[in-house]
Amino acid sequence: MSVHTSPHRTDSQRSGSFSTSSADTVDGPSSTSMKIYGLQQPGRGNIPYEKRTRILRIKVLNASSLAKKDIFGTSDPYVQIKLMENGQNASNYCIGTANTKTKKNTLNPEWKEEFLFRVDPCKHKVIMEVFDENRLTRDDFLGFVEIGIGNIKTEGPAQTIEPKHLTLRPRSSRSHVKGGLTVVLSYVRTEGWTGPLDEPTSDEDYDVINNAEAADAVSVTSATSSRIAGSASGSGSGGGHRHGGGGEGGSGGERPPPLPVGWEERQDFNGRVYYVNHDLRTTQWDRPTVGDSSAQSASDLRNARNQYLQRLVSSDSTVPSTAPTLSSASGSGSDSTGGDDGIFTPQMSRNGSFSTVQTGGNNLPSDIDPLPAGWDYRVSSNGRMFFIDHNTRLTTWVDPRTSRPSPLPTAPVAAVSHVVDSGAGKANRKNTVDILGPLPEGWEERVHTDGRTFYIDHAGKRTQWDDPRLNNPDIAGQAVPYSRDYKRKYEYFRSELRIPPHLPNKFDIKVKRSHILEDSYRAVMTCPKADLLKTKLWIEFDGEVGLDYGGVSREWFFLLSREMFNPYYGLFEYSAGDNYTLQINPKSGLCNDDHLSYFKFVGRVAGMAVFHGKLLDAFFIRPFYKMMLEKPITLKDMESVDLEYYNSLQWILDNDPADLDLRFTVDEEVYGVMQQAEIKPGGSSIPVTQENKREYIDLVIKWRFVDRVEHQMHAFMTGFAELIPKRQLQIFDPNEVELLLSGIANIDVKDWKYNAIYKGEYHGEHLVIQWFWKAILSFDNELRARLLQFVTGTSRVPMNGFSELQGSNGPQKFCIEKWGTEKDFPRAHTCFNRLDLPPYSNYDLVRERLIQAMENTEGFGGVD
Amino acid sequence: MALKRINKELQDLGRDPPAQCSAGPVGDDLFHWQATIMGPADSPYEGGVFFLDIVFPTDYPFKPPKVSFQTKIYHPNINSNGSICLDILRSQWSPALTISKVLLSICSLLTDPNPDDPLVPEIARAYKTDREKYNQMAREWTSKYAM
Repeated sequence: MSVHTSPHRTDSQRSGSFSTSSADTVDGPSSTSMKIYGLQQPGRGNIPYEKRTRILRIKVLNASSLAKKDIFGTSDPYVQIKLMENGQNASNYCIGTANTKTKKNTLNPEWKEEFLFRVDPCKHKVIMEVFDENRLTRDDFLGFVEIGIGNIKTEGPAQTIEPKHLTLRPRSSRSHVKGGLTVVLSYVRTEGWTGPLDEPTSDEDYDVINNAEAADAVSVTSATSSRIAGSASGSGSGGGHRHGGGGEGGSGGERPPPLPVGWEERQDFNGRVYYVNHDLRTTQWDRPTVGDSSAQSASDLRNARNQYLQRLVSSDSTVPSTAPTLSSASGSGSDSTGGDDGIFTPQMSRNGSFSTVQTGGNNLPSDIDPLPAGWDYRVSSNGRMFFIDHNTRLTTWVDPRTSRPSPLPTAPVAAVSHVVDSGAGKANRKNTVDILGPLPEGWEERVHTDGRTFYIDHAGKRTQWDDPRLNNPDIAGQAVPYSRDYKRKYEYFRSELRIPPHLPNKFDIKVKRSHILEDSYRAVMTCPKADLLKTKLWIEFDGEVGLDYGGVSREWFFLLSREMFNPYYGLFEYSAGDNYTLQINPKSGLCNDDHLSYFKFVGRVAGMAVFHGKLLDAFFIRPFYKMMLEKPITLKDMESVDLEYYNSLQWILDNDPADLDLRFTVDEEVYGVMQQAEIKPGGSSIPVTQENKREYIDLVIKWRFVDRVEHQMHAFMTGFAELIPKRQLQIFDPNEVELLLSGIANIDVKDWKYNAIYKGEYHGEHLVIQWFWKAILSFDNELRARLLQFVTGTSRVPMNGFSELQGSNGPQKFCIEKWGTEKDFPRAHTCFNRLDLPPYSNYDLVRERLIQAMENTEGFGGVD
Repeated sequence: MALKRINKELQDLGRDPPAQCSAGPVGDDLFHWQATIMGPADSPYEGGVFFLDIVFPTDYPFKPPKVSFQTKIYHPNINSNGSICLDILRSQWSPALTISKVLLSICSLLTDPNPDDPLVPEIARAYKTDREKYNQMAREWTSKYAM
C-alpha cells in the first residue's frame, strides 16, 4: 500500500465499491453484493463452478490523454462496457451493458469502478467504449477497445492480475480518437471462492486480445506505469501483490507512448501516418513522445515567439528588436581592425551605448543557441558581430557559445577602394559600387563572357556566383518609391483611429496563463462597452508581477492568438491537410453551441490588436481577408486553397459539363453522414449546362467560402468593427490586411535563396536568376513580404525557414520557372509556390516588372 | 451529388466491366470500395491478383479518389504502404475520369513503370540498370503475395 499516493486513496475511499483495505477482505463484499451483468444466472443461488459460464470481473481504472471534444479542451468521460457475441456475423449482438459514472471536466479520468459479468469465455468478447457525456447533444465517441476473454487469468492468492493498458481505437478513419484505457480483467474463482486453488495460469495465457493491434496497444511511460500498477495493486484483486510483473515487460517496448499534448496523428494522401503539432504548426513523420517533446517544444515555442516578435506592424516602425543590427553601438566598435586574431576587443563608446539593451536574443541566427545570461551581441560598424558580457562589462569577438571568433566582416563601409587590381580583363571589371552598396573587403565583382556576374574572393583565392553581400543582413538598399506604400497607408490609418472621449484611462484584463482563452473570453466579452477596449490595455498574468507598458500585452496577444486559432477548439481549421493557413471551420457550431459568441470575441481581439498596433500570430487564406473587405471571391482564389478542386472547376469551365450530370447541389459530411445542399433554390433538379456553368462555379465558390461560414464571419466582423470601422479598413487590399493583422516578417533572403529551386532553363547561376535575387536584396522587408504573398499566397515564412515551405499538396519549395517573353509580366502559381519569370534582358527590367506584377495582382488576367 | 455519381459508376462497371479489373463497394458504405487487378500478361506480374482499396472523398468527382494497393507489389511507383504515384490521382485528376479509367491506368502502369518519377528509388534503379533482376524480383513477389 505504500505506493499509494494520497489522492488515490481518497478517491477510492469515496467511490465505495473499491476497497483499499487489505487483500483478505476484498472479495467478500464485491462478489456477494454486486449486480452481475451479462448472461442469466444458470441456477438459483451460488451454484458450484459451472463449466461453460464464468464470472468476469472488470475493473475500469482510468483513461489518459483522451481526445478533446469540448471547447475548453476537456471532456466528461464515461465508459460503456458491452458483452458481445464473438462470431463474425453476430458481432452486433449485445448480451449486456454497464456504464461507469461520468467524470466531469477531465481528459484523464479515474473511475476505479468494478463490474461483474457472467460470460461464456469461448463465445463472448468485451467491448468498452468511452464517451463524452453531453447534456443536450448526442454523447461524443472518444474511442473503444475490444478484448477477447478466452485467456483471462483466474483470481487466486498466488495469482497476479496486471492491469491492461489499451490504446483507444477509432470506429472509422474519421473519428478523432486518442489516449488509452487501463482496465483489470479477471475471472472470479467460483461463486463460493472457497474451492481449492488453481495453479496460477502461465504468463503466456495471459497474453491478451486483439493480436493484430498488439503494436497499437498503449504503453505508458515508466512513471505512469508504476503509478497504475500501484493503484491496481491497491485495488486488491484478491491475489498476491507481486509487483512489476514480468508478463507486462516483454510487450512494453513495442507500444507507442501516447502523444504529447497538442499533437495529433493524421494520415496523408498516401495513407502514411504523420504527426501534426498544433502548437507550433509543424508536422513530422516521427512519432513524438512526451519526454523528448516537452523540452523541445519549450525551445520551439521560444522560436515561435521570437519569430512573432520579429514581425513588424509596418516596414520601419519603432517596435523594439526590429533592427537586425545595432543602432547604439554605431560609432563605437568602428576600429574595424579586421580582427585577424579572434580575441580582439572592440572599443566601447564612452557615452554608454551599453545601456540600451535593445536587441534581445531575438536576432540571433536561429540555428545557434541563445547567448548565456547577461550576454548580448551587436554588429560593429564594419559589419562584424561582437559579443557583450554585461556581467563583466567586457566585449569580445569570441562567441561565448562556440568559443570561436565571429566571422570576418563581410561588408565594411569604406572598403570600396580596396579592390585588388588583378590586371586581367579590365574591360570586364565593373565598378563595385552599385545600389547594393560596396562589396566586402577583398572581394571583386566581374562579368563573365556570357554576361553573368561572378565574385572573386581575393583573400580566400576563390570565385563564386553568389553575391557575398547576401551574407550581410544590413543590405536592403533603399527601395524606390513604391506606389502602394503600405507604410504610408498604415500611418494614415493609425492617425484616423482615436480613443473616444470620456472613458476611464485603462482597461484591465487579468488572466491565468493556463486558462488564457477562457479568462480572456470572459474579460473581453463581459466588457459592457466595446469602446472601453480602445483604452489602454492593462494585462496582468495571474501571479506575475509586471507592469504592462506594451510588452505584457504583446505577450498576451501572442499567447491568446495561439489558443483561439488553434484547430483544437474547432473555431478555425487548417485550409488543407498540410498547410497552416487558417480558415473558419464551417462546422464550428457542432462542437460549441456558443461558437458565434466566440467568433465575435475573436473579432474583438483582432480589432484590439489592430487598434493597439499589436499583431496576431495567425495567417489566413486569402478569401478570408477578401471577406473582411467584402470583396467578391473568384475562382482564382480557390487555386491557392485547394488545387485539385480548382482544377476540376477549371475543367468544367474549359469543357462541356453535360456528361458529368451535375446539379446545382453540393455534398457535405456532417457527423459521418453525407448531406446534400442546394446552392440555389430548387438546385437539385437543375442540371449544369454549358450555358449556366459559370453561374454554377460562382455559386460553388460562394458556398464553399462564404455561405458555409456566413454566420461565423458575420459574428467575427461584428466584433472587429466595434474597434475598427469597416470604411477605415477598406483603404487596404486583401494582402495588406494580412500585413495589418499579422505583421511583416523579417525575411531571411539567404535562407530563401538557398531553398529555392529552378525549372525550365533556369538554374541558380543563370543571369536572370542572379538579377532576381539582386532585386530581392534591393527590396525592403515590405516588398519582400509582398513578393512572397504574390508567389506563395501568404507572407508567412515557416517556422524553420524556407526549407519547409508548403504548397497546397504538401512541401513545395519556392520555385522559379522560365516562361514567356520579355513582353510578359511575371506571374505566379500560389499552389506550387512557383513564379513564372520571363527571361528579361537586364536587371532593371527584372526589378521593375516584379514590382509591377505584385502591384497588379488583382488586375491582370493570368496573374494570380 | 457524389453518391449519385458513384452509383452511376457502379452501374457502368456492371454493364461494361474493364478488362482484367473489377471493383465494387466493400459493405454498405458506397464511399469505400475494393478493386482487383489481374497482373497483365507480358509483365512480371502476370498470374497475380492484386487487391486495391478505394476511398471516395466527399467532394468526388471534384477531388480524386484515394486508391492504394492492399497486396504487396514490387514496382517503382508503388511503395510498401501501397501508395501509388500516378499523376491522374493527384495533379492531373479531372472530373471526367472514372474509377474504371483509373484502374486501366494502373494496369498500364504495371506494364510500363515510370522509373523517372519513382516512389521507390531502389526499384527504379533496378528497373533501369538491371531489368532481369527487376523482372525476377517482381515475379517472386507476385507469386509470394498475389497468388
